[in-house]
Amino acid sequence: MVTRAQGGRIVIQDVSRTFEDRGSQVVALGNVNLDIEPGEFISLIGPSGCGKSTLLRLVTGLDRPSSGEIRLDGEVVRDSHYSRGLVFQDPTLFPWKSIWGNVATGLEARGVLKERKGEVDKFLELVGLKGFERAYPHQLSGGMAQRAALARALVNHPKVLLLDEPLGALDAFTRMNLQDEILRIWQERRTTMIFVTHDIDEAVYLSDRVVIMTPRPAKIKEIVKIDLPRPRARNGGTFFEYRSRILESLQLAPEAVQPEYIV
Amino acid sequence: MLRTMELTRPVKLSAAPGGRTALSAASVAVILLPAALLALALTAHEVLPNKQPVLHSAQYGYLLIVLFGAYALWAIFAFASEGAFRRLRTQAPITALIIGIVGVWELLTLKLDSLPLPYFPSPVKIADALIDDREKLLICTLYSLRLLFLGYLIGAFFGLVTGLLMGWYKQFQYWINPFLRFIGPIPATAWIPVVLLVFPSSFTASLFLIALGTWFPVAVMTWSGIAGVNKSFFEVAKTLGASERYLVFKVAFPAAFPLVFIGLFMGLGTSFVTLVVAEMLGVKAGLGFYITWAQGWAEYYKVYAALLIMAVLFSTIMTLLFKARDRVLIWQKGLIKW
Ligand SMILES: Nc1ncnc2c1ncn2[C@@H]1O[C@H](COP(=O)(O)OP(=O)(O)OP(=O)(O)O)[C@@H](O)[C@H]1O
Ligand SMILES: [Mg+2]
Repeated sequence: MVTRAQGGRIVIQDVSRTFEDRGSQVVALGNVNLDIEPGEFISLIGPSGCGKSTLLRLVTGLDRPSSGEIRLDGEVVRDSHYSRGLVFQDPTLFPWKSIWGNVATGLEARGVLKERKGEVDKFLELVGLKGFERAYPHQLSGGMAQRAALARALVNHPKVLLLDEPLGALDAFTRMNLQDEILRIWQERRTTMIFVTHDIDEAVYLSDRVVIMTPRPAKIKEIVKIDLPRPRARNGGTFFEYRSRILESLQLAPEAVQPEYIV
Repeated sequence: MLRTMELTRPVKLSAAPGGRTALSAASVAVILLPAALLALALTAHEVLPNKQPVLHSAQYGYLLIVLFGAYALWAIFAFASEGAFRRLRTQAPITALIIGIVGVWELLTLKLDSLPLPYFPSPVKIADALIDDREKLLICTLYSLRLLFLGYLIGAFFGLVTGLLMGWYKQFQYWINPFLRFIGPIPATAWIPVVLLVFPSSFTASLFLIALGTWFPVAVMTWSGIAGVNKSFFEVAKTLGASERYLVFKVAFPAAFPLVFIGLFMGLGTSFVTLVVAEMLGVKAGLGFYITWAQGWAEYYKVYAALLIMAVLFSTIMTLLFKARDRVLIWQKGLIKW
């Protein structure tokens, strides 16, 4: 039904990002190295302020690294491009567009909407929003808005889909539903996924690999490969083993979550 | 459905045995009130002798009869549908008040001659002006409309362009901002002496003034609207493949539209002021000109006639602007209704 993504290998090489703040330098990200296979599902987990969002912004090209480089299928990422979709933590739907219009944005912006109108309906159906085409964002629930944002990012058939805590604000029930929907979409499309979360269960349930990050210095601490067959049970014995391993790793991280200031 | 209506409306509707809705005596009385007042006004108009000279007393009587007929028709239609009935029920008291005011006004002037002439003419006298001077008034109205529309459209266009450029390009804002700040706040009408000298005709001069007065609020509101657009909207659009053109016209502009509309609204108000003042001082046509001219002959009833036309005209234009906004801004919650 939906074509599979081609390629999507991400190589993050010695990437760091420092921000100037009134003369002092904030290291948001220090020397990160990560290779991501095409079609892989990666979760980023780590305390607040450790640079997860910063890393996603660098991968989309909304921001550039202070040093190092990021390649997608061999090409250095410089600017944002529709092949790297981003779903923000806040759905950020355009309030002046209907749900249909929101999902169609990517095609409209690229000037291919006329030929591909059907795609919009297809993705609306995929995220279970059929029948809400003409609604406006303020008429949707939080979970529906998040699903619309997901469809909006998917409609461009990105090779890479970056999700910044997309389920953070939802209740447990909606959240699990959406997790399964994301998995279903990913299995259908084989898009490379980078998924930021604060929820360890969510990371174990969804990912091929869980990347644990630490602040001070903001970098990758450990990468845990989740070797569980899918579909996964949320309460199996091995599931809990992975869970406690990540928990341990996170607890070993320094408690302070403030960024490091180098004077 | 019926129950919620009873909770939110003072109208009492209860299901009659036949399944049709029966009405309470109170709402029937309220609905009959305007009709009764119209009948009363008509009787007073026909029976009491005129104490002031008027030309079209009979026609004024016909007008009241037509109004009575129109109201009766409205009421008949209202009994056919629930929505129309509720509308009529809410509109009836204010309609009655207006009829009452006009009736009392006629009594005080035409019938009792208790207000000084020529400053306070009767409604019948104003009808005289509307009937006898209709050609002149029509031409003046068309002149005013032409000037208003051209001036407003030019001003709004340049205001939008200026605001858009200022909101989008830092450079542009740097160069234009001082001019906007110093020239903008001067009321456009204050330029009249200068502008009448510089421009080849009073028409082009007024056009310029109306455009200037409209330009300022539209430019300021568009600028602040665009500058204040949530940066995340741009980032989302960029990750979806948006070009700069798309960012400006399909993201920044619609996001800023609620403020842009306030600019357009303020600009329209200013353009009315500028239009009338310009016509009173320089232009030899239009409703403003008609008012000064009638005042020169101390024909105040003509002044009132022109004011009445202005009221209808300007309020209609304002309504159209708000209607257009409602169309564009259906996505916004809690809009002020006009
Ligand atoms: N534009 C910026 N200017 C200055 N500092 C910034 C900027 N963006 C991020 N930072 C700093 O970089 C650090 C990492 O921020 P980032 O948003 O990536 O954290 P995060 O891991 O996503 O946190 P959270 O889990 O709370 O979302 C923070 O300390 C933040 O203060
Ligand atoms: Mg973040």
